[in-house]
Amino acid sequence: MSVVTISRQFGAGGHTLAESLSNRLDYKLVDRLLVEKIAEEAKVSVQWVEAVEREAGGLLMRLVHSMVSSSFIDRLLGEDRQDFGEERYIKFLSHVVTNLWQEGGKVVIVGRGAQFILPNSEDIVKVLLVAELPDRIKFLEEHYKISTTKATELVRREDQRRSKTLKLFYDGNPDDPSFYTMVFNTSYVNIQEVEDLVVHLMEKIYENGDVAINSKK
Amino acid sequence: MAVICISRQFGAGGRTLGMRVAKKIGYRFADHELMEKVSRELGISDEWINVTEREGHGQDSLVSSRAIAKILGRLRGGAESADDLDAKVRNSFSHFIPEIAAGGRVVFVGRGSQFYCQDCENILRIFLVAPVSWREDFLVQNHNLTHSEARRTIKDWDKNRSAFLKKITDRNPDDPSLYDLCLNTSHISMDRAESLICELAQMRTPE
Repeated sequence: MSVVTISRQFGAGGHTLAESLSNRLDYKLVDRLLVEKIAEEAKVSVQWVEAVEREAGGLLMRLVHSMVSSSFIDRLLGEDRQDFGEERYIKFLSHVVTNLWQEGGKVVIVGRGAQFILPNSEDIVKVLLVAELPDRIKFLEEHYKISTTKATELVRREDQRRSKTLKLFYDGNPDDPSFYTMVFNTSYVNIQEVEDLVVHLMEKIYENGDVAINSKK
Repeated sequence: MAVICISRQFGAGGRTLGMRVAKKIGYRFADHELMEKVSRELGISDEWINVTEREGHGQDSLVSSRAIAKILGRLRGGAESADDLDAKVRNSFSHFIPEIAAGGRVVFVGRGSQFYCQDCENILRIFLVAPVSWREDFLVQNHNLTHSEARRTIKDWDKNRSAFLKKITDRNPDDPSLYDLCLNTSHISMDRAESLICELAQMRTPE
């Protein structure tokens, strides 16, 4: 069991960190694309979601690790296709994320409200990346080769989207540092240093082998 | 040659951690030195020592900056406004903190050091947070307070802290983007927090 969640202000380098961190720890990277793929398979079916809820982790882990065959999913889906409401999506996400943790973890989860879904537990490290606005804009310009205007607009839009999405989980300031194990400001601490420090903490947590699950809300 | 500035919500373990980090990597823990200079400049040394003995069990960092202004006000017989007195105290901090920081290898806790050291090379701004309930327990266990005393102390300090910092910055002092690293001491043990800060300080120190 062990999960690193990475929440980030857009342009603070969250994805870059998640990729290098998951490589270094040999953890599976769970990001929007993967979760959406799971959700896409599921969104059309109440039965499927119920199956997830019933069958808990096993099914999900199979999905995450191998992307089970579509015929298997088809069988679960049946004909009962309907839209995936917001509430159901949140419930679904909670199941996905909780099961990933309970089924043994070793995942780096980017975004998805995982910091609010998961309890506070010694084997869960919740990271938030923030950065000063001009630095985030600059980061996007350099990484995605886009203009300043475009980068600025993108940051504004994504900030809005992020706070709207996180409101579904928690109705307060999602950048309140007390929700996280550690918050890094990538305006001052570079991504390599962040990675080294998270790995350093993981090594401390696991220096005597696996930690006992100590889950208290 | 880093300068480490630890800012904290009261009861999140800032002083304890600051002293441990300083000891571990051979930095100075500067609060006493700072308060000596400040109280001397303001002409309240003897009073300050009395107050730290009485309220802080001899530890400067357990007495808020606010207390200096209060002593000053008392000695001046109420001739100056609280705002003027506060400004005098901030003025002292604003030159003594960078002066002490200039030598490097130093740890500050609070006193607005994260702002006064802004121009220092190699500054590490650390912010320690923890939920109120955790901080309350920490104070009960480490400072011999009852729960209700702890709750009151936290409330007073939180209020003082934001009033003090409001005069130095327009920004919300709990905004994580003001710091290099925020650690939640209710998630992370003191040992690990110490180890992380030392690790970061060492990364910043060229061989």
